Amino acid sequence: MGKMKKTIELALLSTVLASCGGLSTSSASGSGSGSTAPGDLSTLYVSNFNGGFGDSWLKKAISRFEKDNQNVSFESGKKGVHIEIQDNKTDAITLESTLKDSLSDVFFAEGLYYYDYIAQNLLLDVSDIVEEKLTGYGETRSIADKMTSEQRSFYQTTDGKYYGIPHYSGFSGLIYDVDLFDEDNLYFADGSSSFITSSSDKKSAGPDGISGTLDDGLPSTYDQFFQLCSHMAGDLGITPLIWNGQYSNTYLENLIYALMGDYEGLGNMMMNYTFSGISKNIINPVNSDGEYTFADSARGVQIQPNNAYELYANAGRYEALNFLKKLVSKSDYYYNLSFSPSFLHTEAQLAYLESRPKGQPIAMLSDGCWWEEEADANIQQIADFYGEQYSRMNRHFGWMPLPKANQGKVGQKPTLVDTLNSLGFIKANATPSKIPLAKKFLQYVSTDESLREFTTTTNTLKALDYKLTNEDLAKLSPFGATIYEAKCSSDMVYPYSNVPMYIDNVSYFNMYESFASSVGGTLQKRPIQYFRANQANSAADYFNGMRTYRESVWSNTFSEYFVNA
Amino acid sequence: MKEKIAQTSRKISDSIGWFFYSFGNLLHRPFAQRKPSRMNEKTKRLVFYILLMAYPVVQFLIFYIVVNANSLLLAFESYDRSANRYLFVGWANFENFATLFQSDSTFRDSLKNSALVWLIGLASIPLNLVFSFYIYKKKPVSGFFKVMLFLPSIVPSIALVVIYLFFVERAVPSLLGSLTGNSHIEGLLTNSSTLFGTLVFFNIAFGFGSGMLLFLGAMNQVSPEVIEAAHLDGATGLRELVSIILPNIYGTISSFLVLGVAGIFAEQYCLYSFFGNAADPRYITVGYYLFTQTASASLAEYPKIAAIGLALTLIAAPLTFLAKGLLQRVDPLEDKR
Amino acid sequence: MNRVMKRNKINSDRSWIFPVTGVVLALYSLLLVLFFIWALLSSFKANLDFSNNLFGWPRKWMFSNYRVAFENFFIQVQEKGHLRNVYMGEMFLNSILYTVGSSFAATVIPCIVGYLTAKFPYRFSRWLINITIICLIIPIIGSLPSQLQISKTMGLYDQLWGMWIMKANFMSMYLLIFNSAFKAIPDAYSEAARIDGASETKVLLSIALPLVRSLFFTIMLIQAIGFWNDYQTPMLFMPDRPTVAYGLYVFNQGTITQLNTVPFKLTAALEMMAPILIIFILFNKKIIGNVTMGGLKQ
Repeated sequence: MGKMKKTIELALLSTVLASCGGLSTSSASGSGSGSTAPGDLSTLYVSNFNGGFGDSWLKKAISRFEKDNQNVSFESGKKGVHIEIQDNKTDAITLESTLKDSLSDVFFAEGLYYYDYIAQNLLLDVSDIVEEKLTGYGETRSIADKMTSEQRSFYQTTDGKYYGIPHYSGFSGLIYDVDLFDEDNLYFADGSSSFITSSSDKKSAGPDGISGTLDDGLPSTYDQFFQLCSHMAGDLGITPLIWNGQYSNTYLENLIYALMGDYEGLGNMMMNYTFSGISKNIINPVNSDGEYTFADSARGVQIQPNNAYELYANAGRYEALNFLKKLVSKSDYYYNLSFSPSFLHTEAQLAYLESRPKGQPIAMLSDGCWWEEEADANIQQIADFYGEQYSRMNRHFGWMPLPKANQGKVGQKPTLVDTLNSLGFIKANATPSKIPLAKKFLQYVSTDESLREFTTTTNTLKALDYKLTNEDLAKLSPFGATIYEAKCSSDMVYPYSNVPMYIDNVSYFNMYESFASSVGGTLQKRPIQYFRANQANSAADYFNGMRTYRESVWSNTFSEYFVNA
Repeated sequence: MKEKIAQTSRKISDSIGWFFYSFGNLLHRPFAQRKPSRMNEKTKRLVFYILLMAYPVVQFLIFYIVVNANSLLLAFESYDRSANRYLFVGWANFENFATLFQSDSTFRDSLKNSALVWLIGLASIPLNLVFSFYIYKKKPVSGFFKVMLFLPSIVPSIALVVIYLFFVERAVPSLLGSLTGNSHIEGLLTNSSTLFGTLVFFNIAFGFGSGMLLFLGAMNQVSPEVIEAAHLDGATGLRELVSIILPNIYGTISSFLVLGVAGIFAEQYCLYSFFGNAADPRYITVGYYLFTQTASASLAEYPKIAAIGLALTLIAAPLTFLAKGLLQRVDPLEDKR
Repeated sequence: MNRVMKRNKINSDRSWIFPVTGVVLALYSLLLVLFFIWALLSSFKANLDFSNNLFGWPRKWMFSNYRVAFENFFIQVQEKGHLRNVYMGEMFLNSILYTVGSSFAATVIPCIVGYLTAKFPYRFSRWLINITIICLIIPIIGSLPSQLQISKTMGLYDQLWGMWIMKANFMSMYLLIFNSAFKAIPDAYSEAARIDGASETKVLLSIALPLVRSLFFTIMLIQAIGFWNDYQTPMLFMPDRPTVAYGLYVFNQGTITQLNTVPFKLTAALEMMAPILIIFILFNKKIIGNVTMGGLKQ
């Protein structure tokens, strides 16, 4: 027995030590293993930030590209192409220091500061492929033509060059369970402040103020939204909202920004990055009852670099903060784990997906437009467990048009804010013999066919202008269809500009840095934490402190950009 | 079985001794064959001393003196982005520190929390002593308890944090929910009224190991004759602990306490492991505050952090000396040392 | 033992403090055992099972969780132009090298300096001991930025051997412990060796060090525990040589949908704990048995 025990102990110890030394396997991630194709094919390595948008779109694009170019010679002595993906989750700061030495020549990344990369000579000039009309693909436009004027003025440097191409579009907001809304008649009735009682009742016009559109019956105003939440929680036992607890601050700040953008509209929002224009939304300090007056509603406030801190006192910002204050102040409005640091974001998606089949419905999810693609595996899990009626193509989720701050804003064109700063580019020190191939591939993924394929594969959007055919629309999931509809009916804010004050201080104007506020002489940075710390903490105090804080530091920080009077 | 393990352990330590002996012989052999040196014994000893002291002293100079001197200097510098170097700016960073102290309630709260955490640690020492005493007296199941008390110290704290996080955020609310019928109970770390207590419990309950090791070791050093004499005088368990054991291990306890005061501003309380950068600012400690600032700092921000560090050192150092002095003064066996 | 002593010992043993402490320790142990059992059971559950069944047995035992967690427990690092994944096996290797190397370095230097200061009564030895005591009780806060800067300047950044060099210092209470231990060794041993023609090196390596090997081993083990658990130092100073502790921290923050579940995170935590638990079970008496360190009242 003693001998057997000793043998077991030694065996255990050996296993432990063997597992330490013998099982170290390391390989390049994703489908790219660093292996090269057969010698007669040109090989290209593509780095892909494999986050919520995944890489299935890229695999499809590669497959078509390889097929379309199987007889094309990019390098002497070689015919055809082989492309390897290097999937990763490298953040933009790390990428800045590692991309020069990377095996990849083409990159799809997010969260990067375009002009910082240019300043460090990291990006290859791709003006030729951006400005070239895509006639070879049966199109009449160039990639530049597919950009908005704001995008063009940003991505084209002062010397007229392009160094990258906008990649995917990432905006945040609210997702709602259409099936649940339909089942429980969670729609406002036309001409009434109450809810429909049957599916045949006429619904209200919704936030767009037009009857007969997709948003009929949805809350038009913030007040209606909270009325809906109270009805769900109080009368029906439905949890109104869920978001992830691990990054609750970030996700809710995304929602604040989305609400603010929707209130302000494209023109006003862009002033936050161009520091010029006339803003009619600046308000005077909000009083303790939450009331305010506009600073100069007739003429508006002339914004320039000297006084751009005034924009931290725009009405949309206050209304959004107040919305969130109300939301997080009542625990009945949100899922009980939504502030738990243990509640992971993919778990939140799973909990949302499982809620209705489980009989404990949750109505809305606060997340990004990429959420369904990100949750694809979880959706499949639910379908496997509860039945095919819960599969991605059979369930109906919708992108909720955001309610408006007040009745006066109902009917204003919705505005979405793209916050992901994603980019497709070629590194400046790419192997010269690979550059023609790299350029052709980068251009290829921006053709209409590739853009449409991106959307039909991921049910999300590219940050360029393109239209889906009826055939494409049929391939979308119900949620994907609402995302596409949202894009078509909304303005999109791309939160950047080529103004030197912005370019030189990009991290200062990052969305997540924009919430600093001086409240009672104390610096606060996270509004959600502030609201949760004490029920008495008001949105008015927080909002009033934002302008105060910015004004106190503005001159010291930006005086070199001031214009003379 | 026990004998076999003891044998194995002896073999391992013999191997270490044998390694040193053989290595010594290997080094010695070339010298043994040389002609007698002209250096006298004193000089040889001095040369030997200098040669062996060289690396440790140089290492100390670089990684203690230079690091801290650099930190000291950094506190008086500012980063010039265009020139890509640090420039001397005098007391500007300390003015920032003063402003930080006045305007940033998070920083003030972190100072308060650091002090509170230290006090709580202080209050847990008697518990640790009693546990160590129980094991020292080899009371029933003490062997098993020794293992259980030490186990959390041996496993990686990050693994414990992961398990504890999910336990207090999921298991405990679910249990409480079943008992009370309320399905909306927040996790113990989510609920601000239980957050601090939950952290305290984790740090105390899983932090007995190293203290127990020290106290047990010190208790084992107490002379058996002294214990016997105490028994002769009728000392009961608690009396024996208070009147005999504690005075005799006072040195260990006071060292523990002094080092605790010295580390008051370094203690992170596992906040980073639990929350990353997103800990509730009302409950953070200075150690956490400085660590998160450093981890996300750019070159321009290093001097400001160094200034905060220096200012805190100037606060903690006299406190440490004060603690040492006070503890020396109340040493029960001071006269007999 | 005479009757009086026996009676007094019995009285001592009957003190109320022991049963009360015993009960508290029993409750503590029970809590710890339940804690780990819950984690173990949860690690064998599928994600949907976990969210609906927090306390029960797994509806289906997912042994594959361990294999999947092991295969996907990796950190991406940059090496020679490639991004490559470092898996758990390599992380364990890094952990072992970091732990063994750093603990050896952090023990051998105080040991040698302790010997020198104990057996070579130069003025410098006294200064060194006093400086150590002063430095130990003066807390230096906020030196991390400076340490990072210097490690990068000296080329020690992101190197295992760089960490060993940085840890090889005598500035710890173990110097004082070794100093006391060597002082307690009679000079007669080394004198006898010198008379026989032994050099100082031989005296150190063949006489002095073997006499403190038990203490050396114990201190090294205690240091090793700290280094094994440390994830912040590898995170800051050697991000491309991830250790298991750092790996678990990153795994915990990770966002791959299939792995971003509670059962997988518990599985990874338990997998990480397993080797050290096994070693502890086998050698626990050695690890916590013969601690003879005392106080440092100087």
